[in-house]
Amino acid sequence: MPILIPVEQVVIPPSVLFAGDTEITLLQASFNLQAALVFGGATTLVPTGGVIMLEGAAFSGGTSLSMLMGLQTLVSVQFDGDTAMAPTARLNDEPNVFPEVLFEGDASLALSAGLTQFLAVAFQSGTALAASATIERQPDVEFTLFVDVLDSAIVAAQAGNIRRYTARALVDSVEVPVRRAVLEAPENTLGMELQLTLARPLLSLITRSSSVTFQVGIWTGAAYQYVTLISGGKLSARQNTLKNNDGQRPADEVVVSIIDPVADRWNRAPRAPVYLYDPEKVPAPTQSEIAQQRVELDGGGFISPVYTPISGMRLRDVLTEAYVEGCGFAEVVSNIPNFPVREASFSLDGGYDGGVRPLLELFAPMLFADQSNRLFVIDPDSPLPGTMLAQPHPQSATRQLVDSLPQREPVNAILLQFQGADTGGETFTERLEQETSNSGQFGTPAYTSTAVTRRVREYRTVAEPLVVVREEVVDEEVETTDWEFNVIERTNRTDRFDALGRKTGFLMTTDRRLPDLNADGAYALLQNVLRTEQLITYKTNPLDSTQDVQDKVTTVESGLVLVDDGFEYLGEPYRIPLTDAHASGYIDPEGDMHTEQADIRTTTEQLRVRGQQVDVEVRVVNHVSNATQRNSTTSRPGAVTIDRSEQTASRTVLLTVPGTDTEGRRVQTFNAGELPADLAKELGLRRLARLNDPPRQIAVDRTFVDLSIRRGTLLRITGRGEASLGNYIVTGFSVAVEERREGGVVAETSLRARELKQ
Amino acid sequence: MSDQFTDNFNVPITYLSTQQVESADSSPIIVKVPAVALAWLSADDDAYVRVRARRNGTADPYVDLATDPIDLTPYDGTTAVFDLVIRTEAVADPVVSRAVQVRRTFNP
Repeated sequence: MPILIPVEQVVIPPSVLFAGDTEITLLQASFNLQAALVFGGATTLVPTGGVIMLEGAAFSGGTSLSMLMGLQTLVSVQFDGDTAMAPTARLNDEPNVFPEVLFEGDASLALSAGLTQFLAVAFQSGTALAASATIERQPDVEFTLFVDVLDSAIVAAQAGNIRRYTARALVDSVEVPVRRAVLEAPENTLGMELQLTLARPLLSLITRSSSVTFQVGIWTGAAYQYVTLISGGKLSARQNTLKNNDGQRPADEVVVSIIDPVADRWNRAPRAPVYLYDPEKVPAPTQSEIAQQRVELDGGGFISPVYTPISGMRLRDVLTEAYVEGCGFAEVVSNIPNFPVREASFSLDGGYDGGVRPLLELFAPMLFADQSNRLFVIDPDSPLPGTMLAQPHPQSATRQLVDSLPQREPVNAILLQFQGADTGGETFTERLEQETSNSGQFGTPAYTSTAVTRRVREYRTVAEPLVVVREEVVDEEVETTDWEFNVIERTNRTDRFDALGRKTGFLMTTDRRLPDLNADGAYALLQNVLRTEQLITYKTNPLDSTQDVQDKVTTVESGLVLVDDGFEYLGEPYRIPLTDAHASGYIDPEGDMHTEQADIRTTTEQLRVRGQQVDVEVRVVNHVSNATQRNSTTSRPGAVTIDRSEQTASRTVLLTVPGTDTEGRRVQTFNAGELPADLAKELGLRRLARLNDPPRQIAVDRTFVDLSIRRGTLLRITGRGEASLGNYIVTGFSVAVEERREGGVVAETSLRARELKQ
Repeated sequence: MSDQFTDNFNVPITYLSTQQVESADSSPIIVKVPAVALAWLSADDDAYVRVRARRNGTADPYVDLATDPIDLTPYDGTTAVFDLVIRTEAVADPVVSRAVQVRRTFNP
C-alpha cells in the first residue's frame, strides 16, 4: 500500500487500520497524527519535512521510520514488530521526546542529532541504540570576567591632581614629532581613527606603506611611561596646506589621518562566497543552486561558492567563522546566548561582518578588541547590577557632563514574531546595507552628501533555503548634508509587516533644516516637518480563495504648515506646507506668520483585480487647501496576489505590561527572526521595557586623560554632591593631545556612555 | 532554581567588567551557583588574573579556581553561595585587558 503525499498538511482520519504493508512518503508535509492508527503490516514512514508527532499509534509489523526533518514526539505508541528508527533533526534543537513508548520487538534507534528524552519507555527485546549526538554533556554554566590590569606606576601617576602627558607617533619605529594628535574611537565601529598634525610639514614623513604607532605618555615621577593606543596604523587620508602668514612667513601644515588595522580588518570579505548551514535543518545545495551563485572571472573561470555544513550549528560557530577565520581575530568572547543558527552567508561585497551582524543586531551588542587580538561581542544589557564593580567616575573628573534621556515611546504591548518549531513556509535573514553618495563638486554650494543605512530582509523558503525569493526593506535612515556639512535632511522610515510577512505599510519621519520663524528666520536645527504614514490592507482574491490581493493603500502626510495671519484667502489665513513655503521663498520672518502641525495630504490607492489586469484608482486630497488634487483610474497588466500558505512562517505572541490592559493597547511589533522562543520572548520583553524607558546617554568631557578607559568600560558616574547617576558603559571616546604655543602639552578626553539596564 | 550564576540580588550574571591595579585582590563578590552533583566550580587559568573563591559565610581559605576547582556535589540541588576574589598579577605593560571565564563545569 504505497502512499505518496507530496505537499501540505496530512489529514488522516482517526481509527484507521492499515492492515497490509504500508509505505508512506511525506514530502514537505506537516505530519501530525494523534489518532488510534493501527499499522498491521510492515510499515515504512519517510516524512521529509514538518513536525512529526505520533500519538496512540500501533505498529504491529516490522516498522521503519526515517524522519529527516522536524520535531519528533511519540506518545503512547507501540511497536510490536522489529523497529528501525532514524530521526535526524528537529527545528531549533527541540528534543525527541518518547513518553510511554513500547518496543516489543528488536529495536534499532539511530538518533543522529538532538537531545532525547525517554519517559516510561520499555524495550522488551534486543535493542540497538545509536544516539550519535543525542545524549549530550550538560553544557557549562558560565560568566565572563573582563579585567583591565593596570600598571601600578600608571595608577599612581593618574591619582594626583597635576599630571603630565605627552604623545608621540612612531613611523616605522622612528619618532616623528607632532603638534596635535586627536584619537577618535567612534560609537558603533570597532577601529579607531587618528589625526596627526605634523610638527614638520613634510609629506615624505608618512607614506602609504608606513606603519604608524601612536602612544600617549604619562609622567610617573621619573620618566614618561607610554601607553600604545594604535599599533600598525596605516595612512588613510592626508591634507597638505600651503599658506604664508603676513604674506611671507611660511605656515604650512600637513595633517594625516591614520586608521588602525582593526578597522581595516573589520571590512574583510571572503575570496569566494561562503555559506554555512546546518545540514540537519537545511538540505544540502543542489548543483543548480551552486551554479546560480557562481561569479565569472574577467579572465575566464569561475569563483564558486563554498558551502560548509556544520552539524548543530550555533551562533559561536558563525562568530568564529566570521571573526576568527575571516577577519583574523585570535578569539571571540561573547556573552550572547549561543542559540541555534540555521544558515549564514558571507558574500563578496557584504563581507564577514555583514554576514554575522543580522544575527547580532537584535542584541545591539558592543564590540571591542584588546591587545591580544581578541574580539569581544558583549550584550551590554545583561551585566551585573548594583555597584560592586563599576569603576567610579567622580564629579571631580568631570569638566562638562551632558545627561540626556532619549524620547520614550510609550507602549503597553508588543507583538513578538518569531519562527516556531511548527511553522513552515518562508524564512528570512537580514542584512545591513550602508552606502554614501555624493553629488556636485566638493567645496562648492552644489555639493551634497547622502548617507543611507538600511536593513534588508531576505526571504527564503524552507524547501530552498539558499535561494532568496524576495527582499523587503525593514527600515531605512537617510541623512543628507550640504557643502558646509550641515545636516539638511534626515528621514527615518520603518516598514511594518504582518504575521504572514506581508508589508502592511510604513512610518516615515522627515526632519529638515528650515528657517525658524521664532528666530528671525535663521536656519533652525532640524525640525520635524513631515510625517508620512502608510497603511496597506489585503483581502481575499475574489478569483481564488486561497490567495490574498492587495486591497487599499492609504498614505497620510502630516507636518508643519505655515499660517500667514497677515494674508487672508477666502476669509481664512493663508496656509501652505512649510517646505513648499521655503522652496517658493514665501517665508517672511517679519510678517505675521506662525507654524502649526496639521494634516497635509492623503493619498488613497484602491486596487481591483480583473484577471490579468488590475485597476488602480488613485485619490489625492489636499487638506491644506481642502481640495481634491487628483482622482484617476488606470488599468495595469499583472497580478497583485499573495499566496498565504507560502508566506506563513512565523508565530506571533502578544507581550504586555501587566496592569495596563484597561487603558487600551498601544502596540509595536518586534520580529525576533529565527531565535528560539524563550530567547525571543526575553528580547521582546526587553524591547518593551526599552520603548517605555530608554537608557540614558551621557557625554562627558573629562578633567584628565584616563588611559585605562576603553569601549566597554563600566563607569559609575556621579553628579552634583556625588549623587549617583547610575552605571554606564562607554560606547566611544576621544583623546586629544596638543602642544601649546607657550610650551607644554594639553591633553583632553571625552567619552560617550550608555546607561546599563536590566 | 535557575540554571545560571546570579548575584546576591538573584539577578543573573553574564559578565563582570572591572579595572584593578596589578598585584592586588578585589573586594569579595558574592556569587550564587546552582549546584549539581558531579559539577565543579572552576575558572580559566590566566597569567594575569586569578579567580579565587570560598564558601560565603565561612572563614575557609580562598582557593584558586583554576588550579583547585571546588566540588559542587555536596551542595547538589541547592544554590551554593561563594565569595569570589579577583587577584591580579604583576604586568609589564601599562594596561593589560584580560577575559577570564568562571564556570560550573563537569570537566574541570
